[in-house]
Amino acid sequence: MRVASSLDSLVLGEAQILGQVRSALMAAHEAGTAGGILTGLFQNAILCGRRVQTETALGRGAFSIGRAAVDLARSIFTDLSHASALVVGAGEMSEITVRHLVESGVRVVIVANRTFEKAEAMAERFGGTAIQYDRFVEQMATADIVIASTAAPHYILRREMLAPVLRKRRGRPLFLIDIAVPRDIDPDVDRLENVFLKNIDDLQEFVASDAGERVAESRQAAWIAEEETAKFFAWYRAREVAPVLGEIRRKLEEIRRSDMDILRSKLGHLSDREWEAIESTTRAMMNHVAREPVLRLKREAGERTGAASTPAGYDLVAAAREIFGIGPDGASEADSAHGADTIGPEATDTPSGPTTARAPGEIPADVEAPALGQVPLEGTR
Amino acid sequence: MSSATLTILAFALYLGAVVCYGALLWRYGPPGSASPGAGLVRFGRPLLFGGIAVQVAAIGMLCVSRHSSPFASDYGTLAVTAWAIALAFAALDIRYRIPAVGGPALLVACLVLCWAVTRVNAPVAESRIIDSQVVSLHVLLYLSSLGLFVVAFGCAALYLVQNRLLKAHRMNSLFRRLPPLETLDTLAFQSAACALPLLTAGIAAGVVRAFGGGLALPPSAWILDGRTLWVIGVWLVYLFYLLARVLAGWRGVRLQYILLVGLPCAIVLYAIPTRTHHFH
Repeated sequence: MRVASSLDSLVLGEAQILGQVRSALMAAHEAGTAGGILTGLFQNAILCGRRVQTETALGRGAFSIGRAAVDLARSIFTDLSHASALVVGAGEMSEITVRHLVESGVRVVIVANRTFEKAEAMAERFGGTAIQYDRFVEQMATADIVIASTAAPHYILRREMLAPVLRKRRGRPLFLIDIAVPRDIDPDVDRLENVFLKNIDDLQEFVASDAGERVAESRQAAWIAEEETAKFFAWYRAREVAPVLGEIRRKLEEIRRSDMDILRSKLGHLSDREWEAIESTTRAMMNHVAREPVLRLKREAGERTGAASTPAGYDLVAAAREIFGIGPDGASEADSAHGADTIGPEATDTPSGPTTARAPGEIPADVEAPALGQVPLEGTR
Repeated sequence: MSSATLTILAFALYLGAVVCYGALLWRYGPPGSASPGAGLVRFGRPLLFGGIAVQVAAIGMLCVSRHSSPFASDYGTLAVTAWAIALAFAALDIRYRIPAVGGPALLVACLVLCWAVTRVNAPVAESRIIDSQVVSLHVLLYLSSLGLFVVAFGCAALYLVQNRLLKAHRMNSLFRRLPPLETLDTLAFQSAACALPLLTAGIAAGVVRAFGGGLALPPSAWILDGRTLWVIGVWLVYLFYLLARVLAGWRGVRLQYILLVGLPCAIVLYAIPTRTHHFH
């Protein structure tokens, strides 16, 4: 649950892990290796991951500098699909940032680089246009987002260079992202109205601050993971208890029938109506005897959330198995010697061959009937 | 149930809406968090519509009980003012879904309604002139424009907050909860652009009535009245805003300050001494 919720991920809250969990389940299904328990576990984990995504802010916020740039751009411009991006310096960092912007809707990309071929290559990757490096300032009159990432040792954009550009822009906001080290854009530019400058340090700090907020949000996510874990174990225990209940009923019925056979041999003169009354009475007695253990086991299945024992300190299901001599797969211990697995349907293919499912109370063919007289007649009265 | 009781109920509903819409700004975490503050926002709109409906009943009850237009007293006029503000924001919220503006806009409506409640027992105009359709139209147009100016004020205020957040080097994720700067700028402009023609028509209706005859004072006394001159000043402030934006291409912080100044000027109108616009 914690893995699917990305609580154990290196980058807390990243959404990819949930997709990977989903893919793993699909791959297991295709390979035929996912049985009931495993499928239930994975489906629960996927549900848990989805709950964490929708009910908490763990998956939100900026995970990278590119995403931080997109978040900021979205707070400036109404619609990024109407915004254009100008990249100055066709480096790896600027490419990552512009990719985030393009994925978020930016359609027009213009690339300026000292080596024109590099600009052309990057522009081609984003379906944009390459321009000569010395034209980038005039191009800023039409661009909305500018990503500067050159290797220049000095500022390539100063406040006085922007003044004529801003006049042409008629007050439209301009978002400048300076991811170059050393800086490409004079920090003084940020004082201009309608100009928003963020450098790599600002963006990194922003990403770190979001990560900090995600840590705070992870408490809520951890609580959801615990809740889903509890739900899974309740479901799992219910599956574990069902065969035990069936086996208890089967054993009691077996005892009743064998005692009824003894009785028939001794009281052969009784009429059919009298036999019907005896049958009905013995069945009712059997149900009374089974009622309390069955109820307690059912309650145990509903209440237990993964802990190995009850609050009283013992495992009721294990105790029931022990008392009634039931093997780990729900069959009599005589069966368990055949190598049945403890875990449900995916364990049906055992080294000893596939086992067949039984209805509760149904007597497996290979189970020996208890010896007559094993349960004294008096015991049923 | 009296009109005043219903007005107090409407006040409570608007106040609830202010809290719900304002809750959006309470939490500084990423959007969509499971905080109680974020969850409250969805109750803002039902409370707002509830308040508007209750006010309709309150104003209707006032008209029926006094057999006059609501503009025949301070109380009625202020109540309709608050109603117009709430209605203007509701229209904007339905069209653009910008709950963040609800906090400041409805807070103004609450303050006006609070003022109205204090004036419940204020004198009611005895003259039937005030019940004429032209006078009602004159006041209604002014109040409609005021409602839109409040929305423009709310957008401008949030613009300044958003601008400050985005300019800050130490980022605060509250900016994610506010609408984008461009959206706020556009909505402020559209609200003011709709409001100014209404204000113009309202002033024109007043002038028509002043020259229509049957009044105790001559038209010149109405035109040169303190409130008339003041409202023309308000009209000029908003005209300057629109011209600066459309013709001079102004955008950004300076333009929003004009809207911030414009609204108090429009509201102060109620307190301007007057020889003509009174209920005695």
